Amino acid sequence: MKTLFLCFFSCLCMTLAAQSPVVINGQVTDTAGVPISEATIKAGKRGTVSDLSGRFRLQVSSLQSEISVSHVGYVTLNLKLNGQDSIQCMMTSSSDNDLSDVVVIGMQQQSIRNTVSAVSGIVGKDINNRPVTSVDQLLQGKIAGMNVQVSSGEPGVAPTVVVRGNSTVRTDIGDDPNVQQAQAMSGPLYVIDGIPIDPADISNNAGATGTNFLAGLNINDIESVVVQKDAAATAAWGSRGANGVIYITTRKATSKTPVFGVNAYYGRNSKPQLIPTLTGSAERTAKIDILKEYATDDQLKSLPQLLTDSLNPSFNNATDWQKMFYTSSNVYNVDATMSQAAENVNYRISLGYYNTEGIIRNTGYQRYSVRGNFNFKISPKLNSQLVVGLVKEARQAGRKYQNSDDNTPFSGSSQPTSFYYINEFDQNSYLGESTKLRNLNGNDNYTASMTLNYDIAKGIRYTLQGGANSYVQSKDYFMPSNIDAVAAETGSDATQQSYAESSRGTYATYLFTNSLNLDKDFKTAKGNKHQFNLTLSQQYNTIISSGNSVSGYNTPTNDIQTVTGIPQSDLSGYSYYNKDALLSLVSQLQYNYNGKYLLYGSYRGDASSRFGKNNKWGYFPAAGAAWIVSDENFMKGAKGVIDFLKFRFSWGIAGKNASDFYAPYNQYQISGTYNGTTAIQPSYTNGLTKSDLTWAKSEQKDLGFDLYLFKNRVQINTDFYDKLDKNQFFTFNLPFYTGFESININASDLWVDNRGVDITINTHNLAPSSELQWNSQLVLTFQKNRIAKLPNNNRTFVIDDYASGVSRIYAVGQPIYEMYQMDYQGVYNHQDEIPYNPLTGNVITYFKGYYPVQVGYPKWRDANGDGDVWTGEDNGDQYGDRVPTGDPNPKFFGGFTNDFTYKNFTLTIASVFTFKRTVVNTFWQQQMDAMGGNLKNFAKNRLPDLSEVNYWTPAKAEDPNYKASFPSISPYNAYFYQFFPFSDMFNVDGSYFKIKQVVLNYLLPQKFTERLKVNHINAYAMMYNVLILKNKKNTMPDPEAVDQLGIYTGGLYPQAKTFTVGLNIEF
Amino acid sequence: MIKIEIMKNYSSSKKIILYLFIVIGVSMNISCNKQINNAPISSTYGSEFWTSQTAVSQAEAAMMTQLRASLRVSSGSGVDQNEPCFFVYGDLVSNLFRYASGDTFLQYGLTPDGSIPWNFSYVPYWGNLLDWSRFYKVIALANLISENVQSMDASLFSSEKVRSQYIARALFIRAYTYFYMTRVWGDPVYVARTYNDADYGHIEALPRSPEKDVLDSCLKDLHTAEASLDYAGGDASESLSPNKGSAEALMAHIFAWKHDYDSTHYYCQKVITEGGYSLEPMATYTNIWQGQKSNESIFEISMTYNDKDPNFKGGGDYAEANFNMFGLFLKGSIVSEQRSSCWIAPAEGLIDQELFDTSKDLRAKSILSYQQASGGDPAGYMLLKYTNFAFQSPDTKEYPYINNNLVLLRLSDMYLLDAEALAYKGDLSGAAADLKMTEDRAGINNYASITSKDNMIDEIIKERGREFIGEGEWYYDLIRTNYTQGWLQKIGYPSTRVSATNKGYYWPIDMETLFPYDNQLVQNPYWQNNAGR
Repeated sequence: MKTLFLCFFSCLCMTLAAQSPVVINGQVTDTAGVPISEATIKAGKRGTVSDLSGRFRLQVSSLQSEISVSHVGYVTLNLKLNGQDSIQCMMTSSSDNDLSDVVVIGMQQQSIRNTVSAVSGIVGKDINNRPVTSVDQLLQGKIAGMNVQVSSGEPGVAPTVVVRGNSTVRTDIGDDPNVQQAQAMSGPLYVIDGIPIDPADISNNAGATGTNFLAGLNINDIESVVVQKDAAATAAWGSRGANGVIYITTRKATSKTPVFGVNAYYGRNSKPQLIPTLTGSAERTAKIDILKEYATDDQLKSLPQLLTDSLNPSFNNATDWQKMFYTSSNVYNVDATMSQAAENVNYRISLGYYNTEGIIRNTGYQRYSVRGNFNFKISPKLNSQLVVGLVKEARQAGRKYQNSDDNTPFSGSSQPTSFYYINEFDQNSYLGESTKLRNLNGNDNYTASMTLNYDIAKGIRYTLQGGANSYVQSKDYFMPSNIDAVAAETGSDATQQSYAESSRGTYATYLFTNSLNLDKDFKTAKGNKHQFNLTLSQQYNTIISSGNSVSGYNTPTNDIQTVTGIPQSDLSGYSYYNKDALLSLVSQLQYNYNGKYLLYGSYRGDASSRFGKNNKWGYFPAAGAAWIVSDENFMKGAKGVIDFLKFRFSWGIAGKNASDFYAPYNQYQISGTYNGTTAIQPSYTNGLTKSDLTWAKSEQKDLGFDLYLFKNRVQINTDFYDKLDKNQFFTFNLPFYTGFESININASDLWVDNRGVDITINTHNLAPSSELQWNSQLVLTFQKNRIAKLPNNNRTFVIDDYASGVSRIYAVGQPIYEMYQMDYQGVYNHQDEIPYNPLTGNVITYFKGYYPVQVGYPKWRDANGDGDVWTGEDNGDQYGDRVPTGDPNPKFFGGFTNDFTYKNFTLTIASVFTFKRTVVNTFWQQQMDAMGGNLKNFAKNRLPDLSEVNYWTPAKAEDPNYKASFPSISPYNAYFYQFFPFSDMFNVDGSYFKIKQVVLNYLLPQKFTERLKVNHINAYAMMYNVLILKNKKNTMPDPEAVDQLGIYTGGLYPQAKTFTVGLNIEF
Repeated sequence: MIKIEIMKNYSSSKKIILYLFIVIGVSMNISCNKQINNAPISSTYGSEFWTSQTAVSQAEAAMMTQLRASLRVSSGSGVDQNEPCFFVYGDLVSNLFRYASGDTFLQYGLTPDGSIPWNFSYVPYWGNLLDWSRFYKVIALANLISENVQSMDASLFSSEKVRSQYIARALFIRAYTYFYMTRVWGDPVYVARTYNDADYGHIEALPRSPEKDVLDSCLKDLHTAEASLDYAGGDASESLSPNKGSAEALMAHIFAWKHDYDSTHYYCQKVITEGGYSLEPMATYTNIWQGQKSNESIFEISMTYNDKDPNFKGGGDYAEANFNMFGLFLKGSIVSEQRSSCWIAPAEGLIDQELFDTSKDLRAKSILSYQQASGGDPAGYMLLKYTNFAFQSPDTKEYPYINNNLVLLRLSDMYLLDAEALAYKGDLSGAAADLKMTEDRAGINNYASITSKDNMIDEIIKERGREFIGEGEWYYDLIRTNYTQGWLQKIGYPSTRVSATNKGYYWPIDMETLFPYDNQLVQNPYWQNNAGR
């Protein structure tokens, strides 16, 4: 598509060119000497593009002219001919968008120069060969306005991706661990080679395997990723653009001669850093020392056997339980590509194999991929493109049934002491190794799309596009009857039944598009130029999600690991079939006046079968304007300082489709039987008809500028935006007298506002003539998320998430998921600090009067001033003493990348950062809670690392100036849940700065490659997840390993530190 | 290859191919107008569902399932033994039983020394005792059935009578549910409509309706129902389904609650004389709770094991049979050592000081079993009405359940209500004749020596305690008669609390949960001033 557009463009230029006597020849290559085709070469008003071998011919007015050479992904070159008629142009790559690059917005192509939209992107070479499974992780810190948090390092699991702030308001957090994992945030729409895919919809409807959809796309097949952020861009995608659109283009051939390339790397994922733990006699001594601080003499005489009986072989061990689960592992990748860009046929076929083993035993991910990109030029007027992809994925998810933080059998509250003896049998059963656990999650992805372009007349093009993507998932799961030996030991679930499941599902997307593009320009008598580009399009999109599952408990033996021989009463099975349809009409118009004044407008209508019969259609307008100030005459004098300056403004409305295929229908379900008769009734949560259900809408304003300074050596792109999401889908709790519990429908009075600033600064720090090149990129996003309006006259409400223990407040002016806890203000060090209840004259109390406050207690603020501090519950005051205490979303984040090129060496150091977010360390909290107020628990649980904790003790408090940093940890204390996260005692600043990648690339000199009769060889080495810097108070090994709601459970899969070496050869 | 072919024939076929594509493209777009009205095939939905008599039966089963679940629901999370609200409301707070010793949460409802009065409001972790939402689910299903059946085509039913009986049964269940709620919480919020396709974000808040109005609406429903239904005619298997007898029995109960004794007497007599029921002989007394076994039973809820039940193993509210509902009364070998502690009616308490002459009363021998203090429980009497204990997998002793039905209305109840009505009307001999029916069966004859109206009513209350112990009933009998007899004060509730204005005998409603969605809701008078500890 891009090729054609550029050809078209260059033809246009040619015809415009006046007859001039001088013709120059040249070739464009990259620093490695690889020819660059399709580079734009301009001299004054004339221009051309390089051919497939990078060569070009261009008419210039004289041999003293200056030419500029530009191409996506490379720094634009400005060269003086200085009398030469043959010129070699070597381009250094850049990660920023170049002005001549073309982006696809809706059904229309727009050049970066002429767009009014806010878009940012990265090019393939910046993400190639990174040893991760999916491209979304690699966007972290690269795109201003896009927050990527890799909360889980588990191979094949999706990171959280949010473009310009979260707008999803979930009230069922805590009910289902998967909500945190997949649906708490508003994820973007992905468009891969023109086919829109919504991974959130896939995980809602076909997410049994839990594998990230994007993992199926081989990173080395990607040419570019463009993130479209403002409404002028997203409204054209209408239906599902409200959360941002990520457009991924895969690679095409660039060389006229056939090229065969092989690329391979190998690496090691290293064991994560473990939390410091005292074991054996060190733990025993430490524990007894702690007890001595608090215990009376009598109490010291009766310590648990576990602590005193150091000669008992069952209790005198030094087991570090963490060590068992983590391991170092391998990562492999091999790609082979064949490509050629011939006259009439252009093809690129790639084969890929990727395999990463997890750093937790029994986890890993493999991908086999084939992708082909074909262009056929059938006649000068007719051409077509075909993209075909076949991917097979397999993922081992260890002992977990679903994606969760249950990666090891021990949660924060159940970390055992090191004293216990662990024999081989126990160890194996904890690891799930000898127990025949089977957890295979397979995905096959088939994709094909065909585009046909026909130029009906000059400037009028008809395009037909048809595409299909079929995503097939299969899950085979077997849990043997004795797996959870831990549970068996604690007696909580001694009779663990075996469970086998086999599920298959297909999520298929089909897309048909008809469009007509009109490209016209007029020149007025005065020489002013009007350029129009109008696109009209019709689309039909359907998704069919179907599948089946059989499962059962109690297989005859643990040797039978499939659903075989299961008693009828333990057997269950179901199948499902969901189909939706989306019908769209799109119109887009670009206009520019003399290439300086740009106008854009689009209008789109979408009808979705997922909406109620009264409101299927939604309409999405957008408009934008831009002014290229630097092209004005009065700016001529500033050339060389200000090379390019564009102001942009856009406004528009984008939409969001319903997540449920049949949302408007009141769903009836089988609730059971009554005296043997089947009972069918409406669902209590989805059992009411919603004829008015319609699109959720997001209205966005964007004001931005692009400024290129000092011969493009400094490029600044800045956008200010305000995105207001209205009419959001919301789960209303219904009044009890309706007889229904809840319903999910548009809330006309639920508004979420996201405002922010996106800044991208690219600099070429050294002179173009320097042999050493140093380029930097700083990406910075400031963001403010708040709830602007709430249903029921802005009524504040609180959701108690019992899974984490951290409640959330939903109030106007607060961010979504703001934590709501009692305010912990330190420790009551001395008796005279404890305040009195003015009503009773006694010391204030905790827990509804049960616990008069004593020294060593945490100091919780009595926010409602009633002399008792508690969360409320039944005191009439439903919120008790809780106050808003923290926002899990960062205030600002971004990335900082530096590239150094010297001769044949390139060094890239990429870092990412996230600042000002609140996270709750429930791992540490649960460990403290597990020890609190109970001597037996204190003995049998792991002693957390207290080396940095100044906990209160009576001895220390004898000093009148003593200030403890943590309350008393005495197991003899009263237990009133003081270590629960209902106070903000465990909240910490989750800021971090990470050096994510260090990449060293070496290109073998041509002399050497020539002798080997190969075109090109480069060798590379990388380190991934190199370094973490964080707040001192933050004791988590990785502050990013928190869930979407800011909870650190300690159980999330750590991100591996990976070292790889690789080689890339092209013949 | 394909490409070459196209190239060769380009001049002749290019237009054909092109137009073909355009035609395909355009026709795709036209046909998909239909597609945007896709309906589900994996689940049914309203307009598709209400199109057959079978569907109505399935909806009726759902209504009954929900009623069963609502009555059986456990007091709340943290309650160790899953004591259902049904017995907490009807039996536990009447001081007949002591909660099982293992249950650390139920004891919070009592005064510090473990005695009456129950503080209903100090139950922070037992939402279900205070939250009436579940009963509105039953009502919504009843409303849904009566609305839809009325609008369905007559030809879908085997006869017009069959159709009217579906409506009648739904009206009966709605009336029963409102009456039940009224006895627990006082004034309910009265709703007799469905809320499909409403403006869900802006549903109008409703206030509570006066008890009297609600009961009158129930009576009106029951009049309608009674007209369409038939008597069971002595068929024990009919007791699962509301019929004319059950409608009249319920009317008798509602009139008694309203202290309208003429009507109470009238409907009791109708049931007794025309209903076709008969008292179960003492020898087979426990047949009453065996499930569709006794001709004494008027209306009962199915809780027996059913091998078609998909929920049985998973348990939960919608399973047909379970262990917890009746299991709370049993411990030791009678339930194959499933529990070491249970609800016990303590010796030297109401049970043997006030109600039973344990040496004489045949019921005491049949349904009470003396237990030494054990498992933390005091010495006292274990109730044996529900003892059909079984395992689904006897070999492995897995999936225990108790195979009994919950009887909500039975003939003895009608005799004793009739006695109560007559006694209040001053007809002591008529009352004695009614009492005779149940007392003679139990081998006692306390009625014979009574000469005053007050004593007669007290004797009826006591006989109801003996007859309906462990049937979730007696506490309401105490409320109903308290205006003259004062039994609530007698068992330990302060008179200011249980006065007619304070109504502290009703449970408080869960304002924290319910009020946010209905800001017209007000707390019961006593609990407005006595919330919390």
